[in-house]
Amino acid sequence: MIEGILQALLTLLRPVNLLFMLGGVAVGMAVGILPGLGGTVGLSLLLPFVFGMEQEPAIAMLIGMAAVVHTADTFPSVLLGVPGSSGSQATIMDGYPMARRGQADRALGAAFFASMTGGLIGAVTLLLILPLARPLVLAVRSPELFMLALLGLSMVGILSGKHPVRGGLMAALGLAIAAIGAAPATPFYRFTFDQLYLYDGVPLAVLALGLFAVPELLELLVSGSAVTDRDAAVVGRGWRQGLADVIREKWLVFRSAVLGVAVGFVPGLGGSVVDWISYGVAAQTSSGGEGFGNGDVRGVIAPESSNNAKEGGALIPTLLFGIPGSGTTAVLLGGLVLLGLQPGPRMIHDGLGVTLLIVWSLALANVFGALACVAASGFVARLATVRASRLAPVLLVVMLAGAYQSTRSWGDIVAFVLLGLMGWVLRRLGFPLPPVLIGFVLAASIERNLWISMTRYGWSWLTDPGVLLIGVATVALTAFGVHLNRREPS
Amino acid sequence: MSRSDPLIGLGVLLVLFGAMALSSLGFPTRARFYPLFVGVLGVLLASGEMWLVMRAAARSDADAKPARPVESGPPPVALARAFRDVVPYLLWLVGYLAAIALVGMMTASGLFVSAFLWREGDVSAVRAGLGAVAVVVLLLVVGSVFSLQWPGALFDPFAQLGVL
Repeated sequence: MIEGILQALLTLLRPVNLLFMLGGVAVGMAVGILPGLGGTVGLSLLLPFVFGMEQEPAIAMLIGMAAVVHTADTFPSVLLGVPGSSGSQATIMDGYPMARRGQADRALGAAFFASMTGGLIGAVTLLLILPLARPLVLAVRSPELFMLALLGLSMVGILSGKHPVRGGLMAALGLAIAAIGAAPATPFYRFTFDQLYLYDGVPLAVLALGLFAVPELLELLVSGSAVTDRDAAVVGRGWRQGLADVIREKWLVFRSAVLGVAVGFVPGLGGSVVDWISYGVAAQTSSGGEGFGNGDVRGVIAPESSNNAKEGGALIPTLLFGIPGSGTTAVLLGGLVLLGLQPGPRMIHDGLGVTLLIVWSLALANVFGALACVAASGFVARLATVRASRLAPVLLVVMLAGAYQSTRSWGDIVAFVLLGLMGWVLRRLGFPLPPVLIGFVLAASIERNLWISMTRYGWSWLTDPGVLLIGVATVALTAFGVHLNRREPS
Repeated sequence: MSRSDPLIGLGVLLVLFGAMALSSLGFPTRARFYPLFVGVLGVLLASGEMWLVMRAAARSDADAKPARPVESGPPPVALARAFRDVVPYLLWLVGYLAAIALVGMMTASGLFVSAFLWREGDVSAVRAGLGAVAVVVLLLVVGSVFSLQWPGALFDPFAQLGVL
């Protein structure tokens, strides 16, 4: 085994394989920085190039891209309050306030080093768990998936501070928006108003961009300011403080990464859930958690560590069973099949060399990607000091271009504008917006798995040990969070 | 914001969720349960929040303290007045979208960026033009590398020239 691990490292370090991995890293960074694209777009871009390539450089390139998207997507989340991809939504909660206080460098540095560490932990966990994971993956059924989705929904209470009813209402709004389109349990279309665009529901990228980006842009334009003052901006050296933050909060990084691997391990839960769960758990379990949401660096460290570690966890069912955990791993799976690989238990025995190459690619890509992002952060952070009236038109063009790629129809643009207006009104009225996203991303899992559970097991699934365990954890975390919020001074 | 703003917003949400629940009653059984549950949940939460808002307003009247505070976000200004401040930028957005429909994404983006920078960004015409060129080049490069697609237009000069 040790020989195999070393051999895989030497294979990756061959110049051609390293070059292709760095190429994948570059594509991943570009995709992460541009809002609305995401890992699925990046992998889809690389797939045509995989045809006819040898396995080793192709794997290095694909994994290199997938590993780095959730590192680079921090840039727009922190600097502009716009999610770079589905995995960086929770980072906005504290990263953007930090940028507004002139600590963009610190937030970015903390995010990149937390991402790197989380990605490394994910890679190591993948290596250690792969031989043991088969029974665990088989044990996760629809009742456990339903309960895990409820666990994610319970984070709404934490994110709503002292107004959980308001937060719950916004989560219900997200659940309602997700009801638009095809019902998962039967061939019926709901709330489409005979609009073809709505038959597939509202795309997540359009919702996220519209809800977060448009209100923020409008408020900055009206105020006539920049994200932060030029005098207050700390550029160039703040990343070292971010590194010190990560070292100080090493246990938070570790447990967030473990949580990320665990959530990524569950097929179908997706990257847009793990960062919210990690953020909520960190807010509930960290001392002084009332600072979360106001520029607490731990609110950046936790989701960034977990969303990179998630890739390691998601590769377990992908490699062992050919069951992708998300859209990104679904495309990655397609790439592996194109290369002649057969995901399954044989990946541990006959295909061990390739599996170990995947692990090393994941690890090294995280390191290279994080260092490259740190090198770029000082320059990119200056964007936060540009006046909104000069930055807004460029941002709007980029966001519209990104939103349009969801379904490539005018409906994306119309939905982007209407959802943006809705987000602005809700924000003006004091309603929190993150719960809308949480409700939206969890809705499909909730409805689908509830129906499957009821159809297959009746009511008996409610007494399953896994269901009870997750239910107790949900209640405990929610109660603890409510208790913490009540202790906050008014 | 004025006291009535949150109540109006909550009223709209109450109506929306109620309509959702009622309309779901006409769905097939398997498609009905989820929107019905969400609609009822939304009605209950909206009603609860309305009651909390009205109670806080009544208490603030009695105690001469500020009413139920907003969690975060912009300073409290009446929604109507805030909307008036935003209208000029919404008109810019509508104009940009109309331009996309007429002349395509590239041309419209160039025109929009240059006009906005010059008019709102207080930038010289030359710099505004350079900014527009940079944005169009960025779109062309990124679009080519990532095989992005652009909205259809009545007359797209870039498509006519075979650039797209």
